[in-house]
Amino acid sequence: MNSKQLMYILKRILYAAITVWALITVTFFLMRLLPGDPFTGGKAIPEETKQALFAKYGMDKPLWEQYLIYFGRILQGDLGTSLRNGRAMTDIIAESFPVSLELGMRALIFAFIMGVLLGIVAAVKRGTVWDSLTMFIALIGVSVPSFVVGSLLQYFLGLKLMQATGVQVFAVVGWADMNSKILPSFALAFGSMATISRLMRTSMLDVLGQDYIMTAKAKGLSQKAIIWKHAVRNALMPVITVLGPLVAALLTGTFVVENIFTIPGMGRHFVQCVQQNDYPLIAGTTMFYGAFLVLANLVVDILYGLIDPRVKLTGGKE
Amino acid sequence: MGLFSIKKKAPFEPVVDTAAAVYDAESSIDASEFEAVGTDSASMESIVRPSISFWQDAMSRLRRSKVAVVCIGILTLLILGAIFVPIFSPFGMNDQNITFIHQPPMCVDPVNGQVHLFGTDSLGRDIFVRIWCGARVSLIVAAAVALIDCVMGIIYGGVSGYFGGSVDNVMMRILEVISGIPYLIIVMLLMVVLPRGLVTIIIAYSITGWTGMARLVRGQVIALKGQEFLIAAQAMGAKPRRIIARHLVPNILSVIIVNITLDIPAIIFTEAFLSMLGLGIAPPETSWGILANDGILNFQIYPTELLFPALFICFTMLSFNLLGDQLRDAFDPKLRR
Repeated sequence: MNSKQLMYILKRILYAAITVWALITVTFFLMRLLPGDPFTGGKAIPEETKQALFAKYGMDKPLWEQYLIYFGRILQGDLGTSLRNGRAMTDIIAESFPVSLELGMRALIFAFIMGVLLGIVAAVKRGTVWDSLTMFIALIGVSVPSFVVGSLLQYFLGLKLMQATGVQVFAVVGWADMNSKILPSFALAFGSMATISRLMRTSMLDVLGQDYIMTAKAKGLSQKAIIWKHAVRNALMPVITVLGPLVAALLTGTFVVENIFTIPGMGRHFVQCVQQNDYPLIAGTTMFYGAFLVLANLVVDILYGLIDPRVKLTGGKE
Repeated sequence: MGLFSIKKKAPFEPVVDTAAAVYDAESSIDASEFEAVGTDSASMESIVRPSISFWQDAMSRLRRSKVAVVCIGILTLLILGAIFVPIFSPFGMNDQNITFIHQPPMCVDPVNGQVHLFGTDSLGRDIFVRIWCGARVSLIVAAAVALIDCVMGIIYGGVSGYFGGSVDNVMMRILEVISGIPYLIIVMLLMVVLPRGLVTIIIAYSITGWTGMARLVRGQVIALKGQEFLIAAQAMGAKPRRIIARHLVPNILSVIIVNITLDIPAIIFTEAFLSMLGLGIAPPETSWGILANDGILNFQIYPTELLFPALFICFTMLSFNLLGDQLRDAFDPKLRR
């Protein structure tokens, strides 16, 4: 690692930090913009009680002081407490995030491997039935929303298959055994798989038209060696750049998939606290997700800069 | 254009003996049969075929593509249906009949004897007319967001790319921070804070949605910046605003159009997604997301209640995706014949 690379990484980290700070600030002020206050909830409560509650939660102080206190708390890892049941945000994260993370990782790995393979097949067999077939699957994938995929899978592979065979091959709800994990992971991964396969096909076709592939062919290398050693490695580069946005897509996808399959993950939790107007939790979850995604993007960016020597590491000009 | 042309061709003779034939053929050609005809500079300059502009060429290629024509047909039907079906339908969007709920498609209404094409939902409302009302919402959101994104993106990207230097640097750093914030999170946050409804969805999506367009426009503008027609415009004293609006934007319009067409499915999906989570359009208004969500609740027993809205969402997204691909091919100068 030379000094240029180090500068690049430091710059990326700085931007990530600024982004997270902007996110925290926006969240704080948006939450203060809310009409009314979090305590009354439509009920008339005595003025003294209200004052006491305001004092307890530090809301009687000026706005900038509240902001600083809030910021300090976040830096200490305190993301707030639920208004509904008094549970700390950090407890909820510790409990439900691993579930979401596992679902997301399964979907990510599946989407990446399948997407890349489909893309390679489509590019190598360009113009044949295989190409049309894989690109048709990809088109369905980008056009059918995850909630439709999830519901259809649940209905046909969960319910109908069980009624037909008498064996519960795939569980319809929950998150426990392997048979309950396959359908949600697939429903979540399908759209991303389609995006990756389209991208991989384009990138692969681009690489296959390059001179060095011609050289490899002229040297008499086998088709297998050309594809796997020369083409795929280079074609993977653009696909790696979308890994950051992909993680974001999968993460937000969990909101819906977890709801459909009743998985006790964080996405389902977030949707619930949004529906119940549990403001501190909404703010806490938002920041947690935001920070997580910024971090994911940062890791992808740095990895990409390190893997591909052609990326300009100055960072400033593109 | 050859300067010499053969006025008279030597008649072709089938040969048996190659060496002798070559000798014979050479000897039989007389130099007087070749003669310079000179050049006609006027005819060399004349344009034989009618000139076709970039747009005419792209449109003719689009018309030749069956997929594009079908997609445009589907989308036209969708727009017309969204406008007219709710007006002419015998059922209102919120007409309830509590004694006639969860009916299958093609059932006859006991009150006015009309047919419910797609059946009725959990409150006895006609699903067909509700889907078209949902189409109105989806299309309005898509059109408004696409327009706002486009205007913001062109202005921001155009200014940043055209001026370059430190202006560009600062503007891009700001953009980097904004686009670093995951958009769906910000959209959800705004939907919590602002009153639920059509305008809020449009605002929430537009706040983060324009960054992609701005990046694209900036890249294109930088690529065009060194070209002669811009230097000419600058030399004639055109103001930056005029140069961006009149000289740069028309040249990158094709890229912008393709990008918008491919963005619209994402916008429609986001609306459906938010409404599904109870963050989008508020009842009694309806949208495809709300219909899909209602359908999912009753899916195991009444699958058609999810199937119809889902089909509409899928076909719309599919049409826009395919049309976007076709437009990209049509505008690609490399594929020009």
